[in-house]
Amino acid sequence: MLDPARRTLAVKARGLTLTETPVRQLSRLVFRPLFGSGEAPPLEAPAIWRVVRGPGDTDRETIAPTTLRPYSEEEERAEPTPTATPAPGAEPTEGKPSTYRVALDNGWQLLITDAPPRLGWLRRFGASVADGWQRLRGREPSHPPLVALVLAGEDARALHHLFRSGAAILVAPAG
Amino acid sequence: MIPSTPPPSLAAAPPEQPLAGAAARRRGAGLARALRLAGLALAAVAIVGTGAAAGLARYGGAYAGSDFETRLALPPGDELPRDPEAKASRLEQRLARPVRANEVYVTVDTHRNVLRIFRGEELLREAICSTGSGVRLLDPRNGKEWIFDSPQGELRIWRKRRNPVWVKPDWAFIEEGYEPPKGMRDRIDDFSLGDYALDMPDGYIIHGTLFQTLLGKRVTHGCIRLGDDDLEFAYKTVPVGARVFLY
Repeated sequence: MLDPARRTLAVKARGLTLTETPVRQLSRLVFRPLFGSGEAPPLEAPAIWRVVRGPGDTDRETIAPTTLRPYSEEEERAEPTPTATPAPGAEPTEGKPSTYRVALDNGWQLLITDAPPRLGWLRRFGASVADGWQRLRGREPSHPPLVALVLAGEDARALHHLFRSGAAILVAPAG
Repeated sequence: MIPSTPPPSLAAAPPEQPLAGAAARRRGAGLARALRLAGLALAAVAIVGTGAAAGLARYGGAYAGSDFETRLALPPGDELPRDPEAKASRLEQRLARPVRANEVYVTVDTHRNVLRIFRGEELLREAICSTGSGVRLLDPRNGKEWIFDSPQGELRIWRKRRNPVWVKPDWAFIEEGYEPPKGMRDRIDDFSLGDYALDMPDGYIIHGTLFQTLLGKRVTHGCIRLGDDDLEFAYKTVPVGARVFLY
């Protein structure tokens, strides 16, 4: 549940708050001409946004054996089994990014990041030049509107796997 | 009488010096001209480049930020409940009391790999577990795909077993590079799940492990693995029908 008024992103089930993450900054990012104005399409709330495609769908290691050999019980039994003491603590952050996008069913994307988006004039000018160059070459880059959530890096990584297709995000009114 | 030697001032100067000075002046002038040309060229490039960049920038666009605002969306008046405030209050009460005061339930944090057992609001046990690796496995024979995620959401324990036996599915062999055996005998595994198993729907199980060193890591095929003592506690404490919240 995204609560813009309280600036929190919470995982809830039947009223239980399983985990709650503070949102440091919440903003809308809309692609528009550098020398012009563009209005962001309105976001309605309360609403349920559904994840169409997220990092929980795409950021995966793939195991793809090219051939299979006949099963051998003896061969499998020969493999050693480690039975040492349990690891003392969890290892939560391995390999997960702290900045990623989540495509939503309303055409918007969530930008989860641990650093505020840099939107200074020079940076926007550079981005506009790059975008203009792409368009000049006949490419039409996709720039969906974004809801940017700035979280602590560890929090962003902790939520990474939850954004799978079908996941529902309840959005409360901004107040 | 005319002297045969030049005056000392002229005679002291070596004959090459005027030529060297002129050459140096020519070199200096050439360098200055080259610098001027380079400057002009740079200025031209800068002007053309800036113009081109400005043109490209006008042609393209960039993200601009604004405050997060929402527009209140309510159903049309005739679709509103008769007493919306009363309905909202009832819903809020239902949501606020999702589990009974003494209900035993389980939460699994699949990021931090921590399983917790609660009775109402009391935390009974916190245990390090292993959860789904998120790996995708492809069958080279037909392209069939398995994704080893732990589920998310709410499940229930529907069965508990002592000394559980695991009937190994195809992926357990393919992952090791074996062809799945035809007969059942090779699929029976009576040691990998540990002493107890708490079954949830769709084949997900809370069970033990031979790989104690991997507790706290995302290494499973979607099941939740616990250490021996924690598994025994879960088996004895968590009843059939208990909710399991995975996130």
